[in-house]
Amino acid sequence: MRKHNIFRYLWLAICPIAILSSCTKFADSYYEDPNRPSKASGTQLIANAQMYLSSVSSSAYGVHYPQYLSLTTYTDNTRFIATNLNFSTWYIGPLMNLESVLQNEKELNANEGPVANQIAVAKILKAFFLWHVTDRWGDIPMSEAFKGIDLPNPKYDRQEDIYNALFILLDEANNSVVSANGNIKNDIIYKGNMAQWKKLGNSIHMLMALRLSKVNPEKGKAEFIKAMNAGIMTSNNDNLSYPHLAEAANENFWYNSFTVQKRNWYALSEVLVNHMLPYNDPRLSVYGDKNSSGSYAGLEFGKLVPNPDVDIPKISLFGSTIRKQDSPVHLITYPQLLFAQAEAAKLGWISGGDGQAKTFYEDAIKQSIAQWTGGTSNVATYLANADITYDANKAIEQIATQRWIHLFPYGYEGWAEWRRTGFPNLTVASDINGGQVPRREGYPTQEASNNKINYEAAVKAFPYGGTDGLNTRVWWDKP
Amino acid sequence: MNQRTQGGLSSIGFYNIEASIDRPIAESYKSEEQTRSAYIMTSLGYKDTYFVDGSFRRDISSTLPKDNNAYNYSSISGSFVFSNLIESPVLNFGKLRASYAVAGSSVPPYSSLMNYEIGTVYKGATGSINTLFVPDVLNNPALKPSFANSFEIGTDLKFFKSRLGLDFTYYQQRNKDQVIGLSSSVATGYSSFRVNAGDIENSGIELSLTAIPVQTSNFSWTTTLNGAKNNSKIHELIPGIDAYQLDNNTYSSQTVYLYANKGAAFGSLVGPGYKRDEATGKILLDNANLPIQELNKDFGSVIPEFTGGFINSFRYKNIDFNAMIDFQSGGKFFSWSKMLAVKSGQAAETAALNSNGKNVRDPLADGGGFEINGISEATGQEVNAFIDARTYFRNQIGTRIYEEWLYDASYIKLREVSLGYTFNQDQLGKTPFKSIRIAAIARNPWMIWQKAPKGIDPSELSAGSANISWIEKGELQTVRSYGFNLSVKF
Repeated sequence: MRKHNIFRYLWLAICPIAILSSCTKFADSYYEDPNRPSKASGTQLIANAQMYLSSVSSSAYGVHYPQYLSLTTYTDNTRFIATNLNFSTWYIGPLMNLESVLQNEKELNANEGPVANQIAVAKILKAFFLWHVTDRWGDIPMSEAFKGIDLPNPKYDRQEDIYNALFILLDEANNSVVSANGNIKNDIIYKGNMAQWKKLGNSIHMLMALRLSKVNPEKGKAEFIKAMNAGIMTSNNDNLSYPHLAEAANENFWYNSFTVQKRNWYALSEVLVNHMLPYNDPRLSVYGDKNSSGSYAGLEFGKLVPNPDVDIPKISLFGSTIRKQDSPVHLITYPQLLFAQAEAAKLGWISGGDGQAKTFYEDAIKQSIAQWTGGTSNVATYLANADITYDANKAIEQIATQRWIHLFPYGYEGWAEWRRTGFPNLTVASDINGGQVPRREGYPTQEASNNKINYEAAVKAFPYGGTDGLNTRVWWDKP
Repeated sequence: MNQRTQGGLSSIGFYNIEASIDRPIAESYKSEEQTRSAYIMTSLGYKDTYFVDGSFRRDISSTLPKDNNAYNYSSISGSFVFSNLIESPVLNFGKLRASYAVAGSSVPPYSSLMNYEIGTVYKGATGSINTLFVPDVLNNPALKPSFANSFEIGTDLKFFKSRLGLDFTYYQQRNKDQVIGLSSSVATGYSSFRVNAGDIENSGIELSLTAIPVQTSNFSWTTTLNGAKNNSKIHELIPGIDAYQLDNNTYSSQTVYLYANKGAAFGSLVGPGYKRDEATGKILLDNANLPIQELNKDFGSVIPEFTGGFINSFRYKNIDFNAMIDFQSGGKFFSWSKMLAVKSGQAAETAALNSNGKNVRDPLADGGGFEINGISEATGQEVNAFIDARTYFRNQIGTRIYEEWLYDASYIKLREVSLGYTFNQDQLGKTPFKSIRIAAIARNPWMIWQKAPKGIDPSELSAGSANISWIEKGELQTVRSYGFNLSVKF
């Protein structure tokens, strides 16, 4: 009898289950996230990637490798305490946005400008960001990167292969730009002007080519000439500069540091001021502020015991005119291209020899002063300094030193060019990083667990040996 | 819905979103989900000796992918009071119990949909530029429901008219397809993947022994000893990934991670430590005689070997006395506050005397400095040298050598003591009260023994965002409290 009862109840329960098994449909609204869009505009993804441009320069680490800035208060970053830095910002930030554009070409909307031009801009920016990443870390994931869970362990590509792939990417971008009615929408940098994008792509291409001067000058020369002939920047109006705004959401990093967070941490380094002050460099008053006695002075680099209360009144803090809320951040600039051509002429990559090199060198300095100060009236006086006047016997050093001054405060670029040329002479105390100026940044420590096999293979394959840290050379930095 | 001003207010004292100087932040968030369930359960008993419970459930969830949104799960448990079948002067109660249960669960709303995120707006001179970005977490259109399969077997025994009791349980839980955020190589374009992690096991034993050694009309003593041991293990994550990051902590660009790696002990600490000489195990020194850092060193597991408690209660006439002891054996933890105390020069060792009888902070030229012993990496020779204390404590071990700040969490602690007096009905007479108990209580009165240095409390560690304790980062110190307790029954 008892058993019988149970079955009766069981049936009562099983009935609704039988009914339910056919009810697996829900309203469509459950399959649409009301908080986030499922379709993207290509130019809006590109615009978001552009927002990362200023961080390529505005970095609390990069500014210290070429010793542009010293620290007044917490000096760890000038003592290179952090040996391994994370490249996640670039991979999951701008590069993934650009990949999303490139992988979904068919879904791009031509109402936002020719699809070919959207793709070309995405390629140019992808090349720029990957160039930045490879110059910092060396061999990095590229060919197997950005594939999500389909390829959870992307291998590290050799830097040489990355350079070659980026040259091709930039060629493709240069060749595919459509000029007629070509403007694209949502462009923070050039307001849609494709002629300027095209010049930027070729300018990046040319500067990348110069990086090969030590390791593969033949290839470097060929790519250099190809890019130059394809059309590079022709004035400071073409510069790749990130236009910050006078609002909290898009403000300058240094404004945030000094004015919002009230951190008077960053001062011109002693070595920088020593290369500018004796020659009345007109850029010095822009780069730094006067100290309490009305003159310019650099701060010792990498102090063991900081003493901000005593030091700050004596030295030049990072210049207040370039750390306003909307101060732009300069990346690829016309003067840097002129310096590159000066060097190429001196190296014999392009014709003209010393005469041509001198012309480019003087024009580069003039355009640099124009970019930073807005005028050129004091250029002639500056060029007349004996050490500044072009000297064929130490032309490479002069060009490199002037480029180093010009690139301030774009530390990662200044550092790359220092690593390549060795000028100006930079040293650190013996208790900082074993007495060595860093030559590379270590891989993110997560990679040793998340991507173990490929990480270990990359470390083992360092082109000139060494361990994963600050003192190993990347491929183009041939000893 | 969330709105706020940005960049300040345009008019003092005018509190309105429209008074925002910059573009105000305006966000709305909506989340909807629906689950349809059917459930049956049954509970059967026979002769008060055999018991069986069973249940079955079917869920249909709107958050799962459309074509795979229904799942079933069930449970069964049984117990057997075998003491009913035997007559024993020793054993007066004996029960065997076993259960097997599957618990299914769905996924968070929209986590199987691929979407973009709204980015910052750029308010340019020629109009606003809206931006979008690819999310950092990769959603998964192939998500499946997850199932926790748990098996438990145990026994409850009572001997000598319940004067002695023993409870024992063994449990094993295997989580199949558990939905986790699996941190990935950022080179994939994402910081983590939402995945069904293959097979994660959690198993252990729990043991409890209760005894009443003395029981007279005036005096009784009850004692309980319990212990537990838990093991977790990852059998399978997803193909190609063997490391599951449970948590991490970054300070001054140095990161310590808590990992659960496939096949290895759960909860291993990984971080920057000393580079050591392979032959002697001594630390290697650079040209300035400073320790050399090696990254990604495995510091061992944070999981304790066992934990437990020991509780004793004594009663003499109306007076009762209770004491509760907690203990733990093994398990590592990282002490961030100890590291910072050394880094900032507040720990005693940063102002200790060295073998010259000088304060380590004194200049090297005056015989000060920290005395370091190790092997020079460059020459391979043993080095004994004095180095600048600030460089050593602040820039080296206080920043870059996490190995120095790992401690064993073993401890024995007197958690609570109370002494009480109960007024019974006879004493209370005609008052409306049935009984009144007044007691003095001390909580956390005594850390009897701990392996970690004084000043760090291993019994109050933090779990961060993980679900196991592994880090000590200046938690509010445990408070020793004394109090009185009055309980009145009517």
